Amino acid sequence: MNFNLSRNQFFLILFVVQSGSSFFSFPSPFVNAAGRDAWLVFIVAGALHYMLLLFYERNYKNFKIGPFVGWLYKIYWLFLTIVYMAYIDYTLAVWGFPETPQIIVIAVLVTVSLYANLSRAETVINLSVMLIPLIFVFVIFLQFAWKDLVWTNLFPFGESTGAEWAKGFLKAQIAFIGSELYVFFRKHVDSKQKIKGRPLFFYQILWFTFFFFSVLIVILYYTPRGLERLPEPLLFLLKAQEVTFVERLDLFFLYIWTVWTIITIVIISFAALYVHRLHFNEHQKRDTIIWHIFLVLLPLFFLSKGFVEKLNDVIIYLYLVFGLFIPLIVILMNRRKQK
Amino acid sequence: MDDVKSNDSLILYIQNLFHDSADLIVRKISWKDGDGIVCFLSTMTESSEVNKQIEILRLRSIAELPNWAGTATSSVEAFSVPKLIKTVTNGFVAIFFPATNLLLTITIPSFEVRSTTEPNNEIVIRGAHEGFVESIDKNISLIRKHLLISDLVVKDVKLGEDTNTKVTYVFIESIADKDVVNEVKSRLENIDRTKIYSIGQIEDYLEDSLWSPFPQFLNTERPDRAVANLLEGKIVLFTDQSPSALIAPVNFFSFYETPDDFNGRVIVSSFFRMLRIFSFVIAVFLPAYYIAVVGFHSEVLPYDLSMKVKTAVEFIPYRPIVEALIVELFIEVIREATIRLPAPIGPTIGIVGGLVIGDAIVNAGLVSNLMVVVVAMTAISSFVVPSVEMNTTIRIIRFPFMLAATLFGFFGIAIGTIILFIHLMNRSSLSQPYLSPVVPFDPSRFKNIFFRIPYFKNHKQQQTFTHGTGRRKRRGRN
Repeated sequence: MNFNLSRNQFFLILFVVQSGSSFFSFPSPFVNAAGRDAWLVFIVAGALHYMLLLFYERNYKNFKIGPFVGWLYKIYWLFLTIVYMAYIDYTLAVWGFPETPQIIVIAVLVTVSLYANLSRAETVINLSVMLIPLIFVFVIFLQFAWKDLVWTNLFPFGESTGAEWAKGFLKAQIAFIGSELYVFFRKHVDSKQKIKGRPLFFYQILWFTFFFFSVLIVILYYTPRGLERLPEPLLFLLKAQEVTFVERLDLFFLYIWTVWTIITIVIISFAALYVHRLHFNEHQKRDTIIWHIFLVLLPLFFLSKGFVEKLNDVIIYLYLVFGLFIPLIVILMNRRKQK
Repeated sequence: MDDVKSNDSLILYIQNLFHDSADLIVRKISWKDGDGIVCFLSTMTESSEVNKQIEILRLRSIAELPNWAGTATSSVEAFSVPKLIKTVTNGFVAIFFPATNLLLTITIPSFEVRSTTEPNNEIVIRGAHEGFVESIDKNISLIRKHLLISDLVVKDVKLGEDTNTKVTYVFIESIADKDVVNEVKSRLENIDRTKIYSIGQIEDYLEDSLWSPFPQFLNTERPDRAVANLLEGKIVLFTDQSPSALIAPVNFFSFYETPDDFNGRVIVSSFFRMLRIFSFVIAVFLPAYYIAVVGFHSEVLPYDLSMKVKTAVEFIPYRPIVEALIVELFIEVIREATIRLPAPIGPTIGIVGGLVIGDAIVNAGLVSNLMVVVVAMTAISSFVVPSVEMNTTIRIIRFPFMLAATLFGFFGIAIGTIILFIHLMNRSSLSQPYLSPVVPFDPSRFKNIFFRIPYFKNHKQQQTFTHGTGRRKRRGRN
């Protein structure tokens, strides 16, 4: 598959995949795990994220995979999309469609991904553009909670235990998921456009600000005990906002989140099909359709609340394998081969 | 005697070629080297000029001037029957000399062309009040009047064996993208059809995606609009006997610009441009939003408004989608009727249809008054777009959204929006990206979507979009 990315397109894809599905669900498990010092934990996690990006940038040229590793990544991304799909479907069933058969909702979601992935590569690459205004609107409406924020919730800090810090680091990985696309797509970025240095730092700041803002607003708005009962604290926060023109602001954002997740699924599917075509370039249309049939059928086995929660826990460990461990091994092996 | 006989039989032959048409003039005239046969259509030729031109040429022939037939309005070539037919049907005078087997052509056609009046479907408040007419020559002269440059290139292609229709494409050599010009040329030359008679046929052949509801050529009857687009590096196409010009490559936002924007004040024009973009959102999403709110999400509305909506729809026997379809269908019928009816009756039908019948169906309890408000707002919003093609497109694409909202509420609208976005990203106009400058993002032109930038700030000459992006092979469709 031959395509070119501009620097902005590359960072936008990364940002959308990293924030896509997990953004609404990230703060609650993270703050619950990290305790009162969650915001400090995230600052340190943010620094680790930047180091990871620097590692990717330094070594992406050595990340060359064979068919076996390719299959591992395809299975990982299939699992990831299934989890995202199950999660959004479960959320939609709770908030919007208790009566609608879940296979129909999933089929509709997957149809969009199929249409996008049967289109040109440029279409998938640029699809995230439609999220830009929605992200701004989302951040603006979160500001409405400003008057209800309790700033003393930040203090006293330094009270989290070592175990809480460790758990916090682990849960912070949710915000890292998707960063592995860096090593796959980096070589497609226009060689005239610089990534190293300031542009990469700017992306790190953007990513960090976005997630840190969500962590901060959740800590400042909720009491620790109240947060334990809320799987999507940001949606509940929006539900509590009173504006004159609508009664339920949260519903709009639920569907914005749905769009966000769909686009994430489109991009991850694109990445999986891209890796597949690195080694098996025939029957592109057929393979795209088969992939999407999997996406319709497999989430149906994981639609209960218990499953969704378990899968969300598993994802973190899988990310450590596919975002850190495998790239490290592949890069080291290729460097050794070159020597 | 044999010569006389053969000339008479030739005259009969020519008359038979044209099936003894009443406006066909075929006469024998005497010439220096023997008789000639003059032939022309009196309805398409300036008859009073024929004798004068023949006399001038006869004198030149007698004076034995070198190249006596070559004047500003005449030429000579070897005779053939197809050439004779082509000459006569084009409104020229043909003189055939059997002795030398030469065909003398005198170009003095006479067609009725209406005067350049303002097009009814593209009214502007500030700007030129002239429009294209059913003559390519006159249309090109209207463009040349604005652009006094040698860089303005006019190219002709003859299409259709039977109709021999002239298609002209115009561009500014130094600005237009050469690849795009070549693309137009090649697509025109690949049209293989015997009958070409309308601009719509040409559009079908030139479009990148025929099955998309979105127009990929801007249709205009305004010379100032055509000129403004030429100056942006675009190509303008005409067909003979059509007052419409096709402009390409265009993007989605080109359809929301009007000459008024460029003649009005910066702030005012920018405001109306934004209003037009907003009207697209209303026209496509408002009925779907209403259906979703009534059918699925009545809790999103503030309590007082929610009560009003519930009261309004309480005694309506139909589901919101049926209600919406009744009113939409009603509005479309009124619109179609007002277009077809004579101008003095059209507004009356609009008033009778809109006010009297509209009020009656609400009183009869078939639809709620809120639905009438929603659909009327939608209809008005769709008419804001200054392009007839985009207007019809918008009116069509709101139906799938209404259906999606009926099935899935806001979720359906969200899904529909992504599909629409993907569809628009897949489209192109002469292989140039349709959603430019949003996708691919071009910051220097992005602001132009919403703002009319003051002229003194426009330093950068616009070329035809982002060169090379979104380029793809076009499927053959001949």
